[in-house]
Amino acid sequence: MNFGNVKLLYLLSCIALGSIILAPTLYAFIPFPGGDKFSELWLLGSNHLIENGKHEVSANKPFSVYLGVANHMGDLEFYKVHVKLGSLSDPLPDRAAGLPSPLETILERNLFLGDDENSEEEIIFSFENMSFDGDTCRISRLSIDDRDVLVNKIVRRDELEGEFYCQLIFELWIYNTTTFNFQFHNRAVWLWLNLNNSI
Amino acid sequence: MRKCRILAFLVVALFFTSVLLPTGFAVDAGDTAAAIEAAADINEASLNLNLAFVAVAAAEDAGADVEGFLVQLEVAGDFLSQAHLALRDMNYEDASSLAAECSKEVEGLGSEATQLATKTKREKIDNLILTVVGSGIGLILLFILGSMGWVVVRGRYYRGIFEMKPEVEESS
Repeated sequence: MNFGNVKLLYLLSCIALGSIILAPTLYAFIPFPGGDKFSELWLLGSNHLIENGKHEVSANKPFSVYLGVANHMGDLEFYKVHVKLGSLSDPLPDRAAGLPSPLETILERNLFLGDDENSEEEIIFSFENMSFDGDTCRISRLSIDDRDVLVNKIVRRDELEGEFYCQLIFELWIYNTTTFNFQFHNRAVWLWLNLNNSI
Repeated sequence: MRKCRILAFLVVALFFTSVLLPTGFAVDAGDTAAAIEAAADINEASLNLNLAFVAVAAAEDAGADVEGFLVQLEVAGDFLSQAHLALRDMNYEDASSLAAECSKEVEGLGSEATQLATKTKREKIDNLILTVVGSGIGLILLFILGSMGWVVVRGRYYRGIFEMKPEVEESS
């Protein structure tokens, strides 16, 4: 090995050692780029599987769904899940325009999730006092996790299929610490329910 | 007979205006007042919860361990959800008491979180100073030891060269 190579090897060793010594300081000062920031919202059926199609619902017969939220926003976040009940003619959330459904919220869940944390909880619904009259079905009360909620929703029979359909809409809202208010996070899932007259 | 009818009508009208109407009005007004009060309690609880969250989020951002605070926030959040349900169900008393529970759960949480954030920031700055000073001392030592090491390496290299003996090929 000639002298030039020895010199270069020694210099490189010193630089490598210097970098190791400087690494903690550099780590404290240099911001590293984070990944994509997003949140997840999912809805699973009672058997913990994705259920496509319409869910059959009868009066006073409870059914459960699993509602999940995951935070990948890089910070601690405060989420609200708004649950809304709508008929087929009611407007759904407009994800293209980033607008929530204008229907009123019948239930809201508050969630606090750290970065890369997720939460999944079971919600048990039961339609109480459903009354059918010709082409209309009136839902007076809804029991959510054993708590009665007054809804007074009228659902009309679907002309094509001759069934009474309504949908449970779950919207994800997030607290904005800059504006100090909640805003629709443009995440929504919904479940189609076929209301049965059978007892 | 006609006078009797008029008299009866007046008595009923008087009874209605003096007894039934005020009672009915009082019930409605009472309900409305309770509803307004419950809604105000819920709004206040919601505001308290939001402010507590902002403080906890700032503490978490500063690098503090906020697990305990999160449990409190979750409990308060559940109370608030139930308060909304109770209000929707026109159970104003329950709604107010659940909103009060929510406010109670996060009472003082904001200031505790802010204190923790300040403490964590101070510790972080201390650690940063220690890291920078440590790195500086490390670099100075590297420079000194590196220079000394270089002298040794160079000396060894030259000594190795000087100690080399030329090989003479023996001629036959």
